[in-house]
Amino acid sequence: MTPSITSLFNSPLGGLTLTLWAYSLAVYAFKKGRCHPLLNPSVWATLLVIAVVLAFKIPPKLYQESSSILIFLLKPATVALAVPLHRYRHALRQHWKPLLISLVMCSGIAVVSSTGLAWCLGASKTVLLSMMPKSITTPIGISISYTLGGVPALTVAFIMLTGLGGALLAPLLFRFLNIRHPIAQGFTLGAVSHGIGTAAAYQLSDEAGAFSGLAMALHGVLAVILFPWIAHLLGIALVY
Amino acid sequence: MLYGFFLLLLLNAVGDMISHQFHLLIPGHVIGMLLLWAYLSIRGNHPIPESLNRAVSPLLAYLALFFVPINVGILDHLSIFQTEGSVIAWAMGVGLIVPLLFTAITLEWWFRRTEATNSTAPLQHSKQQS
Repeated sequence: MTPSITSLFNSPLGGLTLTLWAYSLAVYAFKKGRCHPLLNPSVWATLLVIAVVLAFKIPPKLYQESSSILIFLLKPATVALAVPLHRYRHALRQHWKPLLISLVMCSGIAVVSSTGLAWCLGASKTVLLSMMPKSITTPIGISISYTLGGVPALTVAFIMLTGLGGALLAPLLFRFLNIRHPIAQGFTLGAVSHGIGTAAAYQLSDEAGAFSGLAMALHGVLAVILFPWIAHLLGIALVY
Repeated sequence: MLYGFFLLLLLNAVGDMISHQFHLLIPGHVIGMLLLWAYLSIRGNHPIPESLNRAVSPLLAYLALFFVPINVGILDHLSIFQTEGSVIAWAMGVGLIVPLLFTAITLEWWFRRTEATNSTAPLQHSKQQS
């Protein structure tokens, strides 16, 4: 029985069917649960797919190849983020200073708090360097990890966990701390949890999504310039 | 819609070429986004082309869907978490919550402050007039 199911994944049919099923179910549950943050569709769709992939012993690589069209669509979707940015250009012109300052500080705090703590707890150099770009959008994060001397595959895992964690936690924190301004919500999600955070921000509001996309893109560009310096300053290269 | 989608792909391709040509760490689609942003900014207050709008809205509406296959890739990295799992969990948890709290609280404070001054400014003005 299982070989025939696995063979479906030799074409996009298996991957697309499985992903669309999992995603529709997750979105249905999200709407039924009145958009509760803990029902984040990205997270639950991922868990559903993982459950099916493990249950039918489908190799994860095969599943990813089978659904590579979806992965590809991320690229034009990233280009498309410019449109909402343009739509909110007046708000951006008005608030660019606090946004930029908080982004630079958020970036520094994210790196220092995570790698600093990992360093204190005695993590290996590989883990430290791979962890640095964890809040950066995956394609940029991978190349930064590579230049710093980390392991890109490990970085991908850290990026993903930060994205999913932020998408789950941030909306809860917003409720708890009464963070209501859509730009504050969106910019925070994008700065910390990159693309997955941006997807979550779009579920909060259009404006939050737009500023989340902005934060993600700016953080990526900023990181390319800044992170080699931070790594140097933290002395990771010197200590070991 | 097709023309809009073509425009997105074209800018993505141009971004890729720029990225390769100058050996940039920034991937082509992020450069493509900056290019489209620049293009729309130059057009200023002209309305966004309808075909572009039609191509963009479904892409952004299903952003979360496109991440699912990438997320599943976490299955390949589970072994690393068996060796340094607890250290990673602490660092990732703290490294997630601290910047989240900082950015959200700072920006919310800023927007409440600016909105408060914006709403009191006309009030003071009218007081002076009376």
